[in-house]
Order: sequence, then structure tokens, then C-alpha cells
Amino acid sequence: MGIKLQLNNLIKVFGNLVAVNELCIDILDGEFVSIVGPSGCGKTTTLNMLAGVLEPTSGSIILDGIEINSLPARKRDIGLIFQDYAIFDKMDVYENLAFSLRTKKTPKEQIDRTVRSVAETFNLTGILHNDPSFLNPGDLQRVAIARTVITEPSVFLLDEPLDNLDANMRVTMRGELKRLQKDLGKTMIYVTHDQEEAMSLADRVVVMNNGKLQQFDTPKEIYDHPVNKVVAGFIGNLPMNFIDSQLRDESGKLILTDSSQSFHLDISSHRKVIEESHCGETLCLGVRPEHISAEPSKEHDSPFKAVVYNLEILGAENVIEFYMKEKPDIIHRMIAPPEFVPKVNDTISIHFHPDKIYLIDPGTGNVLRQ
Amino acid sequence: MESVTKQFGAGKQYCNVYDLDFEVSDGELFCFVGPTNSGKTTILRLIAGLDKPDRGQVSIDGMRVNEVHPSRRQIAMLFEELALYPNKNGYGNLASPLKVKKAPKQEIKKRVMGAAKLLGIEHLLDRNPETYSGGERQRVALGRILVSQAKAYLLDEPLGGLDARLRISMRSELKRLQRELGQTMVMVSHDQEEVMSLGNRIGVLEKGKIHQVGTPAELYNNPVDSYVAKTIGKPAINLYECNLEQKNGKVSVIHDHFTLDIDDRLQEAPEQSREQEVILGIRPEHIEIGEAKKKDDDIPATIFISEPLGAKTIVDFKIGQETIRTLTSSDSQFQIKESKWLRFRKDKIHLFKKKTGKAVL
Repeated sequence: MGIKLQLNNLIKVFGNLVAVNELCIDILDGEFVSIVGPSGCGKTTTLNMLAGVLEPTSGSIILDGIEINSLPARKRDIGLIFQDYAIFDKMDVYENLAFSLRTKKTPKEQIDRTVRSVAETFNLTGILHNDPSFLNPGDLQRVAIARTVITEPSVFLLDEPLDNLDANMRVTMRGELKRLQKDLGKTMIYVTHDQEEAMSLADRVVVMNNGKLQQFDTPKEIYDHPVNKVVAGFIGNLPMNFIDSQLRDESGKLILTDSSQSFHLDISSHRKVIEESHCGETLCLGVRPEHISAEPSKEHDSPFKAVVYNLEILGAENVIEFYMKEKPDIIHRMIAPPEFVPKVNDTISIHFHPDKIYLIDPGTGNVLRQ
Repeated sequence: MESVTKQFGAGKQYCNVYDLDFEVSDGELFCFVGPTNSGKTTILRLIAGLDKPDRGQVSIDGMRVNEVHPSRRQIAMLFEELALYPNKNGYGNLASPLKVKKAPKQEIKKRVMGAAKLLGIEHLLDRNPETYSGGERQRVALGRILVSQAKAYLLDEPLGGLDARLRISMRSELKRLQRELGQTMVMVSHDQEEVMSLGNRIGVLEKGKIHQVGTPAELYNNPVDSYVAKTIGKPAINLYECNLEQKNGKVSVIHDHFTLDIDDRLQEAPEQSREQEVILGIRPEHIEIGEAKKKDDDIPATIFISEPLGAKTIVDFKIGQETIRTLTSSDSQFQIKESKWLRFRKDKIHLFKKKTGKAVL
């Protein structure tokens, strides 16, 4: 797979604000890349520079080997699919699909052939002469994409196209969109604020924060090996728990604990990477709610005592909000099976799986990697 | 509310509601869930007194309030649009309901500072709403209704418009606040995840009618009909039109593409289980994915697409034109077009009558 699109040291400055700061990413041909991050992370500014709506302050955007920085939007080989789909409701589906070809003054028979062929690929043959205002979301999405496919862009750019749909429809449309992209084999760039959407759709995910690239990797890598606290805390359905901890040397073992000794975790296996980091005696311990267990197992360390603050019954699982003894101000979360129903203010024993914890340098925010 | 019905004229902004019957207990966080135009806002307006029922009775603390003016009901309502006063700062906004009641200055200050501290918005008191972020606006709006110390608080989609991450943290805050203050709250939302995590009890609405009122666990495990089953749980429950057949003392659920033997389950079903046309419901998390056929009624299917979510993966399968959505914590790689064998957990199957949608099993 060759490189389809390169963003080289892309920078966008608005007055005093550096909205996008030295963004460097290489997107491969046929890849589905999602760009995600909290509000203000720079993803929309990046999107606008790709679309040609904004000019970069410096750096370059290279598509198929050619720099397109100064190319106006309409001359770029990028197909845009935005939230409102911008489908012409005064024309039927056929005319919507044919629109770009008519503008190019393509001969009538060719237009007909192309439209019918694309309609078949997208399962639209039956509704070619329907009024778009009465299409269901699934068909609408396919018409929007089909219409863009006909213009034969080199890359598709999508901006939160599913935002207006209700939760269930979103999950269904997501699956369809993903499968469509795989069948088409085209490069797609998808911008969203929803980390679940970014993870579920993409081959690789770009996580941004404050204009800077945090990590660019597969969903699995980003979930399993976040590079820093920003990524660790942003990706994952419920946010990762962060616990301020202290390192102690006890009889040759490296122990992680906190000021009130509410937990005692043997992290001797991480000794080397901790020493190399020079982070001193304090560490931030990260652990995902799904990796905290109320069940002991032989791999787990000695149990920690936690006090139940709240219990949420979600059906398929329960979410227990708890605090460590003597630290009632900081609430953490764990996911438990539906059968586990402690009462509020109960003290429970919980276990962190030693392989599923993240040690974070409190100074740099970086996750210490083995 | 007892048998409350309200119908607006054609073209009106709010939706009709019919035969509403429910009770909210003291100190409870009660939620209504339903799509747009299911009557959620109408219910809140009826409780607040902004609209009068055509039929039925609204009571607060045991007393009928149909004829009581909204300003005398001691109910505070948080509207979806928040409607913060743009020309007042945070303090001014928080103080406004008390100023209207002509409360003494000292009292106002005490209550405003108290609410501000509870919500962590002291730093917003001397700033105007246009400078607030989404989350800050929500908190100030919440503070404004909390200062009035009402008998109950009504919240209309209080977390709408916030981005995904902020919603989760504001949800926790809201829950903590309600717990600490012990206030009775009625909240409406279209987001089932939100109501499941916040509500002590939940009412499921469709087109102005209540389908079921229950705890999150009750609604999830024992939905009274297919609409409730579909509304609660994410990803949504899989529903398939099937026929029930009895042959040689054995009962099976028959679908175009699969047949399931459900003898064990029928012990618990009443006579109505002799229904012919049914809808089979099985939640994505209750389907097991296997490499080989182990039981007679295991279903062969091919992978349409898989979506990794981090801890879990959604895997959509197809048999014929039918989609079977599963949710698995398995770490396996799921390749498009791969074949697998699916098993529905028999103890988790739901059956609904096709005609009425009501639950059989």
C-alpha cells in the first residue's frame, strides 16, 4: 500500500492560538483513518485545511505526491461528506447521483450507465426515483456516499456524518459505512469527537490534543498501549482511573502504594523502566474500569479495600463507583458483572491485574513502557 | 399522576400524552426515556403546571395540584435550552429565582454561594454566560434551579449538546449532587445509557404513552414488550420474526434461517405461549461465537463487519439478508466473510407476540 496523503509539519495559527501544531501523519492508500480528540484539539481545523476551506500557516498537504496547499476546495480531488449530506431535495436520487456528471457535460448514455452501476453497488436501484426527503437514514447515507463516489475523488473526508442519528441507528450505520469502505477500497478520513466511533471504524486512529498529535496507531494499540495520560484518559468507553501513588522499596521488592496505604502493589517487574524514567518517588497509576475485579485470582496481587460510593445497573454489566479508604474526594469506577450488587458504603475487596496497569510519569504525563 | 391525558391542537409544539399513571417517591431520581416527540417535555410541563391536563390528576405530596399555578407548586424546572440570562453574570443568574421571590440579600448570598460551591462554579460567578464552555453553562443552569430549594426538580435533557466525554463526567456529578442533596428529581432524555445509569426507576415512553415503569434491572431483564426491549440496552436487542411450532411434544422457534429448540424455557410460560407468530429477541451480549458446531441448533453465519470498541468488539453477522449483531469481549481477530457458529443463550431469549408486541417469555 502506498502513501495516499501526507500532512507534513502542518501548522495553523489564529492570532495567539496555535490550533494545529506541527502535525505529521502519513495516510496509506485504502486506509480508513479517524481523527479524534476533545473539544479544541484541532481536528476541525485540520479537516478544514484538508477540505481547502482554510489555508495552512505553514507545512504542507501532499495528495498523491502533489502539494495541494494552495489548491482551492473545488479543485481538490477530495470528496466531502458532511453531517447534512447536502443532498438536493428538489431532485430525485437519480438526479442527485447524476449531478456532478451533468456539470461535466458527460454524454447522456454514459451518465445513465455510471449512475445505474453505482446505484447497484450501493443497493439504491429500487429507490432511484424516490424523493430524498423521504429516505431513511441508511439510504440517505448511501446516496451521499454514492454521489461522492461518482465524482471519483482520491480521498473521502467525512465530518461527523452520523451525529444526528439516534444511538441505535448510529451503530447500524457505522457498521455499514465500515463495510462499504472495505468493499470500495478507498481512502477515508473521518473526523469525530466520539472516541467509540473513532475506534470502531478506523484502521488507524489519530488522537489530537491542544493542536498536537498524541498518537497515531491501530485502535487496539491505542487502547492497549496509550503513550500518555491524555490518550489513556480519552480512549475507552469509561475513562481510565488515575491514582496518585508512591514508590517504596521493601525487602528488595518495588512496591506501589499511596499515602494512606490503602493498596500495596508489587511492581518489581517494572523496575528497569521506572529507574530509566527518573520520575522520582511519585507515580500516577492508571487502570481501566474494565480491568478492576472484585474476584480474586492467582495472578492478582493482594486485594485493595474500596468503599462503594454508587452502583449503576446497566443491564449487561454494573458500574461501581468507589473511593479508596481515606480518600473520599476522588471517585473511581470499575465494571462488574450484573450479579455483583454491593450496597452503597459497603467496603469491598478489589484487585488490579498487574499486567493491565499503566505507570505514568507525573511530570511528563508519559506512560512508562516496558 | 393518575390517568393523565393531555391533547394539544394540531400544529402545536408539544406532544399529546395519554393515560399517564406513575408515582415518583420522595428523594427518587426518576427518568423518562423515549425518542423525540414521545411526550417527555409534555410530562414535565404538566408536573410544573405550565400545561393543564384534559383528564386525570396531578398530585404533589398527596394533594391535587391541577388548579395550582406553577409559581405556587414549588417545582423547579431546567429547560433544554438552559435559557441563561446573557446580561447577568453567574451570580446574577443563580440569584434570579430568589430575587423574583424577594428573598432577603443575606439569604440569597448564602444560597448562591452554597450552590456554587456544590457545583464547583465559584470561578464563574463574576463572568457572563457567553464566556462559559458547554459544561459550565450546564452547571450554572443547574445551580440556578438548585438555589430555589424546590420540592422537586424537573430536568429536560440536561446533558444534551455536550460532547461524549463531558456527558459522562457531568452524569456522575448530577448523580452525586442528587444523592447528597436527597432531592426528588424527574429527568427526561432520549439517551438510554444516561437514564439507565442515573435513574432509580425509569419510565419508557412512546408517542405519549408509558410502556413500562421499572428499575434498570427490571427493564433490561423483563421488558413487558418488544418496544421496551428495543429501547433499553446498547447495542440494541436483535429481533426476529418467527413461528412457534409444537411437534411430538417439542417446542421450537422457527425462522427462515434458523430453528431453536426452547423446551426448557416453556416451563415458565403461561398458556399464551401457544402463540403462533412471535418475535424472538436476543441481546448481542447473549450470543456466543464458536468456531465449530457443538449443538444441533447452533447457527452458521458469516461475518459482515467487526468494530473494536476497546474492551469489547461488536461483530455483525449475516445469514441471508438478516443481520445478527453480537457483542463479545473476545480478543480474536474477526475477518470479513469468515464463517462462525452462533449460539443464542437459551436462558436469555425473549419471545414477544407478533401482533401486540407483548412479552410471552
